[in-house]
This record gives sequence, structure tokens and C-alpha cells, in this order.
Amino acid sequence: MYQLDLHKKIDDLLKLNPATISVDSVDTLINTNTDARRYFFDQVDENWLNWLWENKFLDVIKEKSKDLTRLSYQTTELDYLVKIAVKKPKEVVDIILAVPFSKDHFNLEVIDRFSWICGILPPNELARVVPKMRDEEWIKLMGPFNRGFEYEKMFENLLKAKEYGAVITLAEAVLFIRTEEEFRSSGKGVTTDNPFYTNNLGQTNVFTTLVSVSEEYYERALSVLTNTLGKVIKLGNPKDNDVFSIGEMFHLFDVDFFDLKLEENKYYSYRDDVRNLAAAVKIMCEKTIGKESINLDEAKRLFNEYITPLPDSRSIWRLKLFIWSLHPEIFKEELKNAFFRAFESENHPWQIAGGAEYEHTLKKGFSRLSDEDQRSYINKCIEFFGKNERFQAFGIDILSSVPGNLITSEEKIKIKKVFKNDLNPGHVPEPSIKSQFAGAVIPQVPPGSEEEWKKPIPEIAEFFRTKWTPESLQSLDTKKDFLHPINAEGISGKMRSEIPKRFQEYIENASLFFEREKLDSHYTYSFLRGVEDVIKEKKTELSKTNWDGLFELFKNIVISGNNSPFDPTYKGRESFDAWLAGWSSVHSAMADALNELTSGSEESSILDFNKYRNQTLEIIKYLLTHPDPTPEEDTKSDNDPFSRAINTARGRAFETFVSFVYRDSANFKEDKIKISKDVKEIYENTLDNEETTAIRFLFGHYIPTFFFRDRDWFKNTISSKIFSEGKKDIFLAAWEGYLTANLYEDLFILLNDLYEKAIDLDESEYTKRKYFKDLDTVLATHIALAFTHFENKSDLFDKFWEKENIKRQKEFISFVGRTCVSRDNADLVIKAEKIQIDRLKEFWDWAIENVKNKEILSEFGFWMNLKSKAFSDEKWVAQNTRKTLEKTGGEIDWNYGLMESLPEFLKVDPEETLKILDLHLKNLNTKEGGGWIRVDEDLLGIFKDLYRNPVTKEGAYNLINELLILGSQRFWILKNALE
Amino acid sequence: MDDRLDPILSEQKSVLTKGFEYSFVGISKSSIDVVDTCVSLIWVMGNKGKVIKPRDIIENIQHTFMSEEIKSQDRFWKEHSAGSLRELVDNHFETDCTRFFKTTPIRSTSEEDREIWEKNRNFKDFLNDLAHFQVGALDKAKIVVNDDSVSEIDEKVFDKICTNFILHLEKLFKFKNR
Repeated sequence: MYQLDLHKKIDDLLKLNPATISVDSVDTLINTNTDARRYFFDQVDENWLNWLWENKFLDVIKEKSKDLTRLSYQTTELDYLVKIAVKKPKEVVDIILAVPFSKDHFNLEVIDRFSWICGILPPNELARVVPKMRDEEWIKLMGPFNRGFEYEKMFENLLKAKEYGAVITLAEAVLFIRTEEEFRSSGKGVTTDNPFYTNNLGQTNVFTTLVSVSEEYYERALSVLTNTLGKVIKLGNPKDNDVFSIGEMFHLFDVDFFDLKLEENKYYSYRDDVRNLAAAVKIMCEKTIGKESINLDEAKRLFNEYITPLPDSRSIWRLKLFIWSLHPEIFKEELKNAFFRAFESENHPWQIAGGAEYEHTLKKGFSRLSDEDQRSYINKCIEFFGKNERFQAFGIDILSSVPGNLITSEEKIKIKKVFKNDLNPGHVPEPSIKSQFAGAVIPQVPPGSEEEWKKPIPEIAEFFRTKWTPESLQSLDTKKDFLHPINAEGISGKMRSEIPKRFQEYIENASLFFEREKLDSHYTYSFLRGVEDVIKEKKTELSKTNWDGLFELFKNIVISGNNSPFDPTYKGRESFDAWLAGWSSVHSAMADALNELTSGSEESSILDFNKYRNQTLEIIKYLLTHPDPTPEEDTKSDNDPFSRAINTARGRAFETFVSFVYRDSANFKEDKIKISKDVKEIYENTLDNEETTAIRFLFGHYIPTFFFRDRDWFKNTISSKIFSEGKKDIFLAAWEGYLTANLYEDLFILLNDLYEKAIDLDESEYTKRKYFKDLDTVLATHIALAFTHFENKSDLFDKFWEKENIKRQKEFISFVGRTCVSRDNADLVIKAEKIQIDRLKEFWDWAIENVKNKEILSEFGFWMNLKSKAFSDEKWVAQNTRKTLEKTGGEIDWNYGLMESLPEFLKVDPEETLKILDLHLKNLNTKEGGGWIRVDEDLLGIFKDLYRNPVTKEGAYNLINELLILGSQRFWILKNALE
Repeated sequence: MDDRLDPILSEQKSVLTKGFEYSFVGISKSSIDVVDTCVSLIWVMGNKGKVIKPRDIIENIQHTFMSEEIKSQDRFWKEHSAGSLRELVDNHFETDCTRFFKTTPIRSTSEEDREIWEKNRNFKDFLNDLAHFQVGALDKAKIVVNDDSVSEIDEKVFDKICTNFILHLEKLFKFKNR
């Protein structure tokens, strides 16, 4: 029987009264196949509910999940319940209540769909279910599959209906906290460090709803929230100080309870969930303990009942400060103890007094202290924070938070004397870490040094050797502000900002910025970077600059290095609170500055190239002998050769060398050979001595630059050296470098043997290291580019296809498809770039006949595109698409172009289109797990046309029939094509 | 360095990949237009306060894919790109879609509609984990590309996922109500 006829039979059955039908007949009919069952439950209405439930047609929902690692909607009976829940809410809720869940017996899909139903239930019916949700711990059972949308709707509906009791029960059901063991592991798919069972708590609006309950429910809401916060805090780190028994969690580091707001609509991660929980606690504390008319006993009862039991942690301490400050008169004893607690820990006073809350509380509550306590507090403060230089900045902030009128003039004098600073009446309390500044260290120059920078450059240069040495600066940094340290990085930054203002002066005095024994390498480095910045970013007019001073500096470094090599072992060093550049970094900076100077065309150049040519080449020659990178570092590194190369002194020098060669060619405009002897000599010497894959990569990468300047030299002398038969890894690095460069036809021909060798080389023979580009991919790309663009077809192409290599051959087909077919304006590109389109056509025909591997052929997905108009013979494209799909069993790696082009395929060849759809859609539905297609109006339109066409009518009917069995519900829409 | 800066090489016949070794670079302008328009609408209507356009995010990542220099200077370019791409579906994306678009699917309607949103969630989870340097990113990548044999999130895998993500969004926004 056709599936369509079976659908008809079900339609007829459903017209009858269920009471008159035998259970067996329904059972037999709907169990003919999966689609029949699905269709039945899709069509059956709410009047059948009791009959179905009583006759156990819905009993599948009582079964436990077979696989708890995935959630999918397979149970059509649940679709039915979702569908009728609005019409028969009471009956559906009765069924929900009759299906028990426990840790050992539950079904992910059933809970998920029940949750969804709950989102659409009327509030009174929902109120019947929420205790079950809480008691059976649905949110825990669902784990990572929780979403939040349903709960959002539930909270919204309950709140609208003023079902506040149910709101609180639902909040309890949602706010389960993970166990410590679960919290420490990332198991069950919930993100590590997330204390909640869902990654989408913000979506539920649980906190916004909880704080919106009516006054009679305030205390219950406070109870739920504080209880939850307590459990979250307990998940904190182990004790890490001598003040609190639980270490702080980072979730609340940057919170200031005084200005904390509930912002569930601005949600980025579960960290915001914790912050919003804290905000909700704050709000409920304001509404209860902070109520204006509250009396002392009630405030203390609420505090003792809900706040006192919370864990002993710094966050809770800060919360308590906030709560006490709500009624300073009621809590004056607590405030007094809190203020004096700042002196409890000699080592960690900021545990108590750090953050914004302590200071806010001082502002609000200090006046409640007796005069005697006030004097005692201020004196203790001066003594405690004044005696330790480390605490002085902190101490002055605290004293500045005490209302100014409550500090005597004698005390103010004493403060100034001890802290060498005045009180700051405008001081604004800030959290320990401000979220927008967390971790941002901004180095500073010494205070009052602004005038020094206006002095003549030689004087400034002298400061670098005396009072601004990295060591001297450390002693000037008395404040020790972690985020604003005074150090060599601060001075360097300032120098770099000053250089553009007096550029020529700095350049004239450049040689003063190198004195190996007296000036820290970090300052030489910073000077060079400053110069490079100016040139690169054109920060000032440069065309008339006299560069002699800079070349003098370079020369001095070269002489020094030649006399006694610089230590290459470090590029930089950590110095207390700053990173200081070493000599290798200075050499990299030299190369970069030189590169900036020599780059650009003859016309746009800022350097009189010929004047400085020989000096520049000498410096480059020196830099190319720099030991960084060493062969040892090269083998140890876990990075690819290119990334390594450009982060080393010799690598930077090589790039500068290439830049130099570009410029130098202006001197050989009329010559056949466009490269000088001295350049070739340096190139050869460097190559002969080079043993790292990093720099060998660069040799390969820049082959075209040297080849086209002297082809014979390259062919006879260089090629065999770069691609020597010695170490395989060295060879592969140069080859990798070459393949990642643009492709030139002359080189492609010249290096034919190397391509052949590479084709013969198997992936298993590649040395095990990180590659900048996958070798097989770049080889395939080069062969493909040559194939599509070069007029003469190389024999390499045949060789490439003679030896099966799935990865390379897949890449070849896919790359050609992406570059020539499935791209914007493919037809225009083909013309403009003279792509050998006939060759592409021949290749596709050949591949269909000769390539046996389905995986390789499936890459033709990028070719199956009529929208792009790459191929003019559209009928041929349709045929080849069908033929390819026949070979691959309907499988293609990329079906986007094909699906988008279906209307064009239909116009060109309806019969082929039907076959294409037959092959591809049936495959999508049989592919394990991956078959997915959206059957929308566009596809329906295609089927309508196919069914209208007498030639394809029967085929379309048959295909729809088959698709119903294979894909069931997702293809039912196609039945509309038959109308 | 760019060959075009070399006066000699610029005269030679060469062919460039122009980034087409990456499918992300080849995403059509029309696809980007759809995603840009619809995500922009969500950001404006949802008052998200974004200071960047969706198009800029996508085109910037296309540029990153094409630029060897950027990639070699930033070894975490994939992680950083993932962080940017995630912006497109950040916050309450699913809810916002159903709030602002009549034609986007609704999860509870059918398995098919649920699958669309699950795909979306899988993309977001992958991007999120990768952006946060979480080990779970590899497992998420396997789910997204439906291939358990993936052993590394290399350029190819990342390219495929990013491309499929944008095209998935395009399909989502072009979803036609049945």
C-alpha cells in the first residue's frame, strides 16, 4: 500500500467516534510503520485523549530514557499532548501528575516536553504541577538540556495571575545548586564554575519574578534567595586567608552591593546569574530588613534568621555591611564592631575593609559611633595603616570615607604627617576589582617628571642612565599601586609618545640611545620601536628627515655586536612589575625600523636609498648572522616555522632583506639580472649557514623575489641548496614556505621535479611538527590553480590524479569549486582571470568515470551550482550532478549551492531534477545522524512543478511516497504538491 | 610581505588563491546581507547596545582567514574569531528571534523545528567554548560537523564550522512559515 493511501485510511478512521472502534484495529493500523503512527497522533484531536490514555496508547511516556547523553523529540505521543494542552489543560495535567520521575527512572524527552507544556498551561493548572517539578528535581534531572524558555513563560504567567505561592515554589524548583563535586568538574555538559544546573538561568527571569511578589510573600522570597546564595558561596575556594573560613569566588569580586542592580535582560554568562542572585538578595533585604517602618526586634529577627546563617565569606561580609547600613541606628553595635574589625588581621586588612562596601558603610554609619569610639577608630586607623608603607594608600582611602566633619583638625594634621598626603573628600568607593579595569595595568612615569621631557635630548638620554634606570624607578614607586606602577615600561611609553613631537632631534641624537654597559637594552629597544611607529604611522613629515643619527646608532650596535656577540638567550626579562626587552628584541626592532625605512616605492620613499644603500646592507648582513632563532629553539618550539620566523631577530632581518631587494631593483632597471653581487653573496652565505626550519621556510616563501631577478643563478646555484636532499624537515620547511606563496607559472614549470617528488611523498613521511599550512592542502591548491589558470596543461596534473590521495584530491575538487563555480560573480571572474572552463568540464566528466572513491566525488558539491552561471551548458551540469550523486549514493559535502539552484535545475531539465532530488533527499534521510534538510515553501514549489509536469508527475508522486516513509513528518508538507 | 610591493614580481604572471582555500571567504554577499540585516534588527529592537555591525564581524573574520600575517601574529586568531562570531547569537537569541520575526521556527512545534534550534545551540556552545579556551570545544566541534573523527580544531574544521554557522543563520532567517 502507498503511504499516501495509509494516510487516507487514518483520516477516515479519525472521523469515527472512538467509543465505537476496537482497540486492536487502531493498534494494527497505526503500527504499520513509524510514519503511520506519527501521522495518526498528528491528526487525532483532543476528544480522543481519554480513550487513548485509558487504552494505554500513551504509555510510552512512562518509559525511561534509553540514552541520557542526548535529547531528541522522537515520541509522537508527546507531540500530541503538547498540541492539545491548551484545549484540555486539566486532563493533560492529570496525566503529567500520573507520570512519576526519580533519579533512577526518568525520561529526558518527557520532562522536556512536559516543561514546555507547563509554559502554556493556565496558571491554576500550572500551580498544580510546580510542587512536582520541585520535589522530583526536574532541573537536576535535565542537567545540560535545560534551556530556560519554558520557565520564563511559567514565571510570566504565574506572576500575571498573582499566583505568588506558586512563583516561589517554581523558584525553588529552578534554583537548585550543583554539588561541590559537580561544580569542580565540567561533567554533564554544564560549564565549569557554573553553580546552577542550567547554562541559561538568565533566560528564566527567576530573580526578576521573585522580587516582584506581593508583600506577604517577601519573607519566603528572601528565604529562597538567601538559602540559594549561601549554597553558591559554599562552593567557593578553600580558605585562603586568616579572616574568613571560606575563600572568595571570583563571581562577586567586582560587585559593590551599594550600587548592584538586577539586570537579567543584560545577560552574558552564568557569572551574571550569580551577580543577579546577589542583586535579588539585596533587593529583598531592602524590602524586608530595610523597610522604613521596621522595628528593632523584627529587623534583628530577619537578620538572624536569614543572614546570620550564611557562610563566613568575604562576599557575605560585604552584604552584611550593606544590610547594617540600611538602618544604622538599629545596627549601631554591629556597625561599631564591623568598623573596628578592619584592624583584626595584620596581614590581610583588605579582607575586611577592602572593596566599596566598607567605605560606603563608613560614610553612612560612622556618625552613629560615640565620640569616644570615633576618636579611637581614627587613631587606630592612623596607627594601623600608617605604620606599613604597603597599606598607606589603602588607609588614606578609608579615612577619606569618614565624613570630614567627624575628623578633628588635630587628627587631620596627624594624618597628613603620617601618610604624607591630604584626605580626599571626593573619594569614591570602588570594588576591589572594577569589571571594566580588571587586570589592566597602566604603567606610569614618576610624578612631576613632565618638565624633564622638555629638556634637550642629551639630558633626557642621561636620565635613562641615572634616575630612570629600571632599578631607580622601583625605588621611586612608593605608592605601589598595582594597576598604576611607576616603572621602565611607563618611561618607555612616554618616550614613544615624545619621539614624534621632536622627531628630527631624537634622530640626530639616536646614538645616545645605545651604550651597552650603561643603558638598559629596554630603552634602546623602546627608542627603536618609537622611531618605527613614527615611520609606519606617518606621525610627522618625514621626507626631509636626516637619518644619519639613526644609521650611526645602527652602526654602533653592529660594531659592538661584532666585537662581542650579544647574549641571544633571552628576548626579554621580567623585572618585578615590568617586562623589559633584551638584546635579541633590540635586534628585531632594528630590523623592523630598517624595514620601514627601506619599504615603499622609489617615488614614495622617505629614505635616500642610494645614499644609505651600503650601510643598510651591512646592517642587514650583520642582522642575518644573529643567533636568534637557534636550531635548539627551533626543534623545541611547538609553533609553526613561519610564526616562529617572524618573531625572531634573524627572521625579521630576512624580511628586511627582502624589502631591501625590492628597493634595490631600481638600480637594475635596464639590466637582465636585477640583483647585485653583494646581495647574492649575503643570500648564499645565509642560506649555507641556515639550519632552522623557521628561516628555511622564509627562503622557500620568498623564492619568487630572487628567482625573477636572476633566473640562471637561482636555477644553477640556489634551487638545489634550498631544496637540498639533506635533512627532510629542512626540505619540508622550505617546500612549505614555497607552497604558501603565490603561484608563478615559470616557477611551476622549473620546479616540476619537486612537485613530482611532493606528490610521491606520503603524509606518513612528513616530519611530525606543527605546519603553517597543511602540506597536502597547499600542494592541492597549487596544482588546482595551475590547472584552472595556466594555458598549458601540466603533466603534473595527471600524476596528481594517478596516485589516490583522498585528502589532496578532495581539496583539489573542493578548491576549484569554491574558486571558479560557487562564488559571487563566477561568470565574470572566469572571464577576467581566463579560467580554463573547458578543462574543468572535461575534468568533471573524467572524474565521474574514473574516480571510484565516493568521499572524493562528494566534494563536487561546490560544482553543482547553476545560480552562479559558471558553466554555460546548464543541461550538462544537471546531468553531471545526477551522475555524481549516483556515484556517491546521493552524498555531497556541500549542498547549499545545489539546493539554492533547484529552480534553475528545474527549468533546465525537470527529469534530471527529479532524479537529483530522489538521490539527494533519500540519502539525507538515511545518513546516520547527519541527514538534515529544511523542507520549506521553496522545495514544495519544486515538487508542485514536478507533479504538474506530465513527464515527472508519477515520479514526483512516488518520491513523495518514499520520503514520507523515510522522513515522515518533515515531508508531510510535500503532500500539498499533490493538490 | 605582499608580492605586489615588489616591482619585479608585480610584472610576472601569477595566480593567487585570494583566500578561496577557505569556504568562509566565499560566503556570498547575499548571505551576508541577510544575516547582517536580521541580526542588526535584533540588536536594535532588543536594545542590545552593540557598537559593531554584524557585517563587520563577518567581513573582519573573512579578512583574518585571508591574512597570513594576522594569523601568524595572533596564534589565538581562531579563539578570538569565535568570540566575535558568537556575538551574532549572544544573549537571548532564540527568544529574540521569536519576538521580532514571524517566520523563524518555534522549538516546540516539531522535531524539525527543534533541530534547527539545537543546531543553533550547538554552534553557540562550540563558539563559546573555543572563545573561552575550554577543552570541551573539540567535543562540540565533533557534534557540529557530525564527525567523531575530528581530532583537532584546525583551520579546515574551523572554516567549515564558521561557514556552516553563517549559512545556518541565513536559513534560519529565510525560514518560511508553513
